[in-house]
Amino acid sequence: MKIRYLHRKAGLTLHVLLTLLPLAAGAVYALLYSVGLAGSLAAGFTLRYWESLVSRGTLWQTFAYSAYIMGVSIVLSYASALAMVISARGRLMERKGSRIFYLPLAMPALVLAFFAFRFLSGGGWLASLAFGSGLIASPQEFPELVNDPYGLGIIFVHFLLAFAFFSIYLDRVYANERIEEQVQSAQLLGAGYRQSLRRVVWPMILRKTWPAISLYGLFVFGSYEVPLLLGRSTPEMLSVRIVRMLSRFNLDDRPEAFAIVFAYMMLTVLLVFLLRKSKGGLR
Amino acid sequence: MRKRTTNKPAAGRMGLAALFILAFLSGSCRQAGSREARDPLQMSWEEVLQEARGSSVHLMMWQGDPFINRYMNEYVKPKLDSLYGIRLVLLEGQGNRIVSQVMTEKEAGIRRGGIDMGWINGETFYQLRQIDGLFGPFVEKLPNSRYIDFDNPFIAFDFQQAVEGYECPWGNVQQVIIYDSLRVPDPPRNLEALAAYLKAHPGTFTLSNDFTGMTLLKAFLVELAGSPDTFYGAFREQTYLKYSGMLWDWINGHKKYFWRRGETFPDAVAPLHQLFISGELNFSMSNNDAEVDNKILQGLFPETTRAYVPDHGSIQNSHYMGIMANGANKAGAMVLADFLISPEAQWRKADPAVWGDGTVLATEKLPPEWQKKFASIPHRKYSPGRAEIGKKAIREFDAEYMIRLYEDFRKKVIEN
Repeated sequence: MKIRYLHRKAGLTLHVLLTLLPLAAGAVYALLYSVGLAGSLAAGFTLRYWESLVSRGTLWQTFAYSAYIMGVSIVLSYASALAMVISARGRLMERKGSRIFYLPLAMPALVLAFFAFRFLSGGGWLASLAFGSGLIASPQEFPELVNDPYGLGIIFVHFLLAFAFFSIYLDRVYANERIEEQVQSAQLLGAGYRQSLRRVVWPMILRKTWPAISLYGLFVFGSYEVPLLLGRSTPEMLSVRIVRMLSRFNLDDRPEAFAIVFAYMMLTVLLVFLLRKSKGGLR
Repeated sequence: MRKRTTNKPAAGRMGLAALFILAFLSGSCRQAGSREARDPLQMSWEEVLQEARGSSVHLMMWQGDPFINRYMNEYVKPKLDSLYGIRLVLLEGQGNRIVSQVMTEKEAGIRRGGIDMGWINGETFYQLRQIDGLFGPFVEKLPNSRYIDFDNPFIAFDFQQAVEGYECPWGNVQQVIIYDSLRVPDPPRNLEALAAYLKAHPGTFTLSNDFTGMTLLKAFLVELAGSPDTFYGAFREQTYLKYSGMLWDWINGHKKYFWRRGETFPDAVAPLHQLFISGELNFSMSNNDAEVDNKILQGLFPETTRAYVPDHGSIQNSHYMGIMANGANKAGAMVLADFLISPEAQWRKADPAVWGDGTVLATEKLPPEWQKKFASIPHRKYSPGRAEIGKKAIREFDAEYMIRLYEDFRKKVIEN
């Protein structure tokens, strides 16, 4: 008993030391940097970096754009995966060739982004096909599917990744929670097919998968390589903007980048906290 | 109550474990930092060579070109090992990565950093000097520096900032605009001709939102002002406001004819080249005037690709090797820098089939046999000759112009 207790405490200590402590230290450092109290060029307490950020509308645009990419990618991939799992009645992974769902997950996001660029750009494979078949006369006539104003290329790649993930995950949840049996029971009691989906399947699956949706959403919100390759100069997603500001020629921009880092970390902590409080949230 | 009493020792143990690990980590850091090396600036060159023998030099450099990588891996590395017993370790990264790492190490109090030397240009030099990140002055100490012409303003000044021995010149290049002569038989040679071309061929031109793109904007500023002399010397706010205002007006007036209507710009030269190769763009650009020969030899550009310098000229600048102030092996880095400016290393690098990088050596100062060798370097096949484009070379402006161009290009063009 005592050994098990010590193991548990040692694990907790390691967790605190290796994950929480560096994160907390990072947050404090980012905050100090953003108010002029840390860094090589620190010159005393100031709020001017925060004021400059808040007064510039592009910060809110960055958060809103990241949220938009996250929302559309997650809703599309989750809804498609759910529809497929329901139609397969939780036996999707038992089907022949279902292993193909693991393929996008095994690929680095950057590789998928590059594939999407080669596939969807004006000089890419799809455009070459369109050119070859006489649909377009020059690459400039091909519709903008990457580096486009609506983030279509970014959403496409995140959809590929998230759809595979949610398909595997929802299929497992459907089976483990015995949802099919619950549906049959509901139907025996007189519920219609649609009613059983709305009243039984949807609430059960959503409650069970809400933490995964949220965490995956955060992953998309903070993604870097995909929007770097497939996004445009403005609006930018959060990580792209932070890295750009950190690596800018003007070193005075670094405190503003740290201010965004701190705001982003606080947003993440808030979300994780809300998830823990919510019913069926993180445990 | 029981719960509390059992938790107290547990919390104590956790605290002790945490303290132990922190003490161990800080102890290791101190130990690593306590091994102070001797200052190579106080040594004779023989002592520097002796100190460097058997050591490793960590050089951070951009590794995006197979020719440059081959030159470093297949020539510099083995030579450095056989001549001086130094192991060269190449680290991937350029300007901002170097500055970021040095800043982070400096802020963390690390006195023996992970980078000994970095391949830098004016932008990085300016930043590293701002944070006292460079070691020096060391260049005069290098025996081969006697072949460098420090009276040449393209070498002695980096972004109008005197080099003062804090970085060693390595190569000299001039910006060129790249085009496919099949698609563009008569490329535009000034802003007026470019405007006409854009209207006739919309969506086929853009610039990268990086160092190379901003360098092109400087050349545009020169055309608008009529002479580069307007921008030489210290930064002048009024001059910048006047001509940059004209520049933003010109770009915003024509950006609907740029690639993607000027709503987005490639963030580096590599994607710009990619768009040029795929046929989306009719132009690309490079700060390496031998780029076209390199890329044709690599099979990336078609053989009909050519490069030119517009009538208003283009920026010529040097690139350098800087030794980090917190570098762990300064002696080894100095030996490497000296080898890189040796006649043999510079001669080999200047060959277009190897790299095609312009030498920083004043060839008339070299021994006669090396003068002959430099004179017999194969000529470029597709890129313009250095002497020809050198007539239209513009010196770099004060670094403040670059800072403002970056900021205003985003605010007044991209976000406009």
